[in-house]
Amino acid sequence: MNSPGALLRFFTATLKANAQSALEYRASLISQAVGMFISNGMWLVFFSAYFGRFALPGVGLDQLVCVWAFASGAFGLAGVLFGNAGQLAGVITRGELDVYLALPKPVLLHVVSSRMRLVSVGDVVFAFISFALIRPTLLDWLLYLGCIACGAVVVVSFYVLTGSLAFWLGAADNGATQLNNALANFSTYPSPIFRGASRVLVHFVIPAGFVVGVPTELLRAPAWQLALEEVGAAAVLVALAVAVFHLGLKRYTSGNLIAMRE
Amino acid sequence: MSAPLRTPGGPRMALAKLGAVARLHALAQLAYPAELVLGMIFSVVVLFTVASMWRVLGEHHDLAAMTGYDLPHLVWYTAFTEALALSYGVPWEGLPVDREIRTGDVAYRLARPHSYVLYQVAACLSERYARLALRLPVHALIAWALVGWPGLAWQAVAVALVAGLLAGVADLAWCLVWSFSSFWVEDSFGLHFLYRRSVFLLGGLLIPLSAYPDWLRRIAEALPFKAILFGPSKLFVQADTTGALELFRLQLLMALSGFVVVAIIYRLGARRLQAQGG
Repeated sequence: MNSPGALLRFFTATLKANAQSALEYRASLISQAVGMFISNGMWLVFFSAYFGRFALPGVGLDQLVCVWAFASGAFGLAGVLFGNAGQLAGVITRGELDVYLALPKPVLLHVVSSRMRLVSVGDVVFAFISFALIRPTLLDWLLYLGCIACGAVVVVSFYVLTGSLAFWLGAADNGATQLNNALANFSTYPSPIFRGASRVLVHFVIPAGFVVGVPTELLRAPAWQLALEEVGAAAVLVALAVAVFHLGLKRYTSGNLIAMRE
Repeated sequence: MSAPLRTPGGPRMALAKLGAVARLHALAQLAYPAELVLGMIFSVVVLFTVASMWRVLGEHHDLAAMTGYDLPHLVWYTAFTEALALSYGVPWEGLPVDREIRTGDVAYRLARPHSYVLYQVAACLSERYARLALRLPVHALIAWALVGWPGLAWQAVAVALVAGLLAGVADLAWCLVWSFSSFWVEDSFGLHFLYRRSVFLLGGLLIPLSAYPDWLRRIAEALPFKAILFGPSKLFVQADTTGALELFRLQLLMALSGFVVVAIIYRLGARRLQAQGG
């Protein structure tokens, strides 16, 4: 029943429904996407000006544009394809998992893909435009697409891990949101500012290094080892997220709530 | 909507109700200790990383000459701005008002025997102050562990705390403006999002305005966002009586103008409200 083909068809159908729902509220879609695009642009200008003043070796305008292209690409893709992942803690806390548990599709895939974040459309558009600004070659584009796909997997997996804390903590909405925001914040800083323990922190506690740091390095000097690190990190994180979610699901108690799938 | 159905009790009763609402919402912040611990882990990560960033930049630049502050003051500055920013809650999800107007739940709320706007002010403000009271000591402890005590003047700390409380009111007033615009716009997320990003960027969340490039600093100093984060945090690390009075004036002006706009758009918006079904 849940063969890979069937799951792919289910995921495609969910995406289509989410896109139709987004297009139904066009004013919202446009205002949120434009808002995110402007906001990203403001931050890029800010960081360019800031690191223009506080110059650091290995941090030039091209590197900053790359950082923002990778960050907004990964977060944008995550939000468009799995827009509900960031709300997982709230869904668990409010007992809204009941809706998904009663349906025959895998609960985790269903819950994270059941919504598209409209604001993420602006992220994706910004990502592609800003990456095009550095005049990439075809190989650069291929690397870029692969890296933002891995980055999106890292982002969604991290959201699932932080969201799953609600199974144990009872209410983790604010805490999970803060950790998710930390991932977003640290993903927009150029990696040379992280050294020693903070470098370990942004790779293995808040995995921003695998959203931006490793991809930027990979683009600068393509190497199999780096590519394997990136793919390996994404694979480990997704496996960990699925395992932790299902472990937590055993503790889930129904909210006894009448709700509808969004 | 017509006038309220009834107004039981006088001003004292109204104040007592608002006090009860404020108390309830403040206590709700303590309901989940594990979540508090999670939030504190976040604070440790942020402050540790920001301190590392300043250390790396300090190896290449003279921080005191370029920002006006040495490393310990920069870390304590960030500790204070982060505590303020986190006390404002989830940055761009909006306030409960947004959801209540969007879903129509506001129709039930309006029938209750208290002012809807004042209820929201009491609830949101008490939540913010409770979060600030929980965050500040933790942030101070983290900053102390990272860089030690930079010898801040206790008077400056006290004035900064007052400025921090006023910043919460000024910020809330304008958040309510964006929230009540939900009577007209389909979704107020974009307004909240741009406002909060502007406060973070032009208000000096992680980096004091004095460290900005000149052209950007001039823009940021000309805008009111500095009253929300930078102003109180600057007073925290650097005593300045004249600056404090100017800041209080700006904060009160922001709060007053915001609440006047809220009162107007709430009255206009409530008239447009049409409750369907039950």
